[in-house]
Amino acid sequence: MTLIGAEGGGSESDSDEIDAERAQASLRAWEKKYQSERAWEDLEEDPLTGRLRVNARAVELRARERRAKMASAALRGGAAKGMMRFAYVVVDLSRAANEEDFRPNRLSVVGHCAAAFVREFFNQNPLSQLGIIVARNGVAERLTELSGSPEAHCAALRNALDASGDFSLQNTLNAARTSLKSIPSYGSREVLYIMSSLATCDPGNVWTEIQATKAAKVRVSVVAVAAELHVARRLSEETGGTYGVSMNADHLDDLIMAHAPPPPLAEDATKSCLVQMGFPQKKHVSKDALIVGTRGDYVCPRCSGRIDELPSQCTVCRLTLVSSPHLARSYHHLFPVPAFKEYASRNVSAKESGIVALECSACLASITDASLASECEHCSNVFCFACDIFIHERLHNCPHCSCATHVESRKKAS
Amino acid sequence: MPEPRDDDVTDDRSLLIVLVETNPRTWETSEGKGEGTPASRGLSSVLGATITFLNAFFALNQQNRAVVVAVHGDGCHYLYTSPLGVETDEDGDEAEDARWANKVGGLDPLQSEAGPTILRRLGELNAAETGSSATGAKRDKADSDDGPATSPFAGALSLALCYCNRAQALENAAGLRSKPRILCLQASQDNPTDYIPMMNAIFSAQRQSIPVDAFALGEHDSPFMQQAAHITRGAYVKPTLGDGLLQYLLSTAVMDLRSRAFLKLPAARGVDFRASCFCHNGPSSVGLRVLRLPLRLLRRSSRVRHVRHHIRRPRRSIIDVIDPSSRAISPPRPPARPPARA
Ligand SMILES: [Zn+2]
Ligand SMILES: [Zn+2]
Ligand SMILES: [Zn+2]
Ligand SMILES: [Zn+2]
Repeated sequence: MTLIGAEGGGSESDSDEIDAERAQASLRAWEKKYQSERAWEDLEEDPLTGRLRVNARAVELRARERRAKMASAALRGGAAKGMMRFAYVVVDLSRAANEEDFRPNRLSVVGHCAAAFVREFFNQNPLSQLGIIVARNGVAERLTELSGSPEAHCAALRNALDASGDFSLQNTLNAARTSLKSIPSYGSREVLYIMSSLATCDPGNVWTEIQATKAAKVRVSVVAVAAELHVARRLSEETGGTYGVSMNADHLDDLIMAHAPPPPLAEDATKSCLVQMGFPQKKHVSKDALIVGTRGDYVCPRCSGRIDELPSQCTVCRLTLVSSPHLARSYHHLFPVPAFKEYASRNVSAKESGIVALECSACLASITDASLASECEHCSNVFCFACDIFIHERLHNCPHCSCATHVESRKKAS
Repeated sequence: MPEPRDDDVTDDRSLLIVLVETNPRTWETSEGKGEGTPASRGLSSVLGATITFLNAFFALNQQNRAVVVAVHGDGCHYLYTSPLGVETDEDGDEAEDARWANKVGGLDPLQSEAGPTILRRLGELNAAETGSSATGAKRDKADSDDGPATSPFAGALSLALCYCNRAQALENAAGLRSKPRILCLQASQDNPTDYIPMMNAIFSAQRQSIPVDAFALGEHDSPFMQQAAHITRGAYVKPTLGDGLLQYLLSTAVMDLRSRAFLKLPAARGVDFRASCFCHNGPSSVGLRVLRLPLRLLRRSSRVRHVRHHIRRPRRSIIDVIDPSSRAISPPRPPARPPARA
């Protein structure tokens, strides 16, 4: 057994020293960022009750900043997304998960985040599959196999929340890799670690396992609950994943949720290929019809077999069946709404005074604060801050651009 | 007078957003055509039914609010918005009493203004359109030789969802519960280019649990509206009696969400789940999905050409669905359009 601790670090080579130094530098940068955040400036006194409260406007501005950053990152990463993802979530249920630095303890916070992540994952990647591995007592336990049903995963996870023993990086990595080996070449293979432990207890050399994972083109990302662990950082760097250390429960949630949208695709990770699939229609079956097999509502377009639910495989001809809304659920990643510009950046008088008298073109709310008004670059309509967020994060349509493209398409057609 | 949050006993206040198609092009062509559909009786009969329906809706609960959006040829316009509940609450009792002193027929005067406001604003809208005659006339002329008219319902749904979002935020802040729902009155056919925005809007409505009730007033079923109603658990109605629109509206769309649970609402018996082809705008039932190439559903006739086209000029981000099956269920073909340029 080799035990690699947080401070012990990995092996001894020069490159490691350079890496460690780079990590040090980034740590300093991180601290700097934290120091310059000046959280107290967001506080203001409530005029009525005299209590301190968080200034809503400052929070809104910070949220906008964060979103702009995410949008530019998405642009930089290229729009290429692996649409069929096969991912394992490894939940660390070693005794470190019983620590009570989060309220009530890490275990319940991590369990909650993981369940939310599973739901969001299927919302954003409807045709993908996910499995859960838990690590406790030094072994990896495959809680659920790869499948497409969020509720089954969440239920299994709820029943398994019980932490004890050690965490083993090698065992969990091996379990995930062997299972991901058999998936078809067009899928992207991923592992997400949610790690509470500061040590890993392995039966052999964890570095050979990391090399094997890298060779198998599995992308491993790690979200650390407690502190940075060198071997875990190296693992994510080697395999092209990301590494994050949470500062508090909200940040942990952010870090985990950041893995729900599809990651940028490495050029050689998947080959393009053709997958045949059918779009069944829903057709009611009359009560006295004679049917062999299931009496589903959906009809396979190739063999006219009946299917209960979508997505699934036809029981007769093995055609992959999806509904077109299922496919359409992920379209907004392909055609995202470009970020809105600040209204004040173009309108000089608004910039100087900071005060405007506008009406949101979508929800008719009046906007008085110029810094909270934004403008769509395409249709030049002004939106309030709430609509800006709503349009980009939930709706994924600019209402007026949708109308405009409609009119446009009609002109083009004639 | 905000209600307590736990309003299991009292009726739900509803926010109803009505998207009514007012596109002059649609009504010009549909009037008198397709015997027995509400669309054949013209816009004024549909508007009449809608306004009567709105009055009935207001009469059910004093706190019911409605928004009417005109889905016009050039975009969407708000015709009427009830003041949001939290705003009127600030009036104070005296203003409230003064308001009620001159109530009309059991309706809050603010509510009884709905009908006249709708008609006035629509008049203004049409006047503005004919005013800008130079461009308008040209578009009308170009438009008229090409297929059936369509209206931007995807944009209208998006607008309605933005409004719901604001209303819900306001009401949550005031400790009230808001139950929005959307009613679409569509007379034209779907425009296949709206597929993606339409789907985005539908999923957004589903996530906020806002039901979308859809009425297809014209001759044809609307697959988009069928899917909207199916996914958001709304009602889909295709009236078969032209003069019975009011009755259909009153029996399906007037009830608040809690009472709806006891009703047997009409739903589409079958839903057309076929994805539509981006190049040819035709529905397709078996597809080849090309990972990492442009997402298109292509009809078989042009399959080879298009596979070649997309493989030569791959757009990295997208996925392709191509119809390879010679035995595909032959769908009702939409009018031929030239393939969209990549
Ligand atoms: Zn089949
Ligand atoms: Zn707004
Ligand atoms: Zn726009
Ligand atoms: Zn094409």
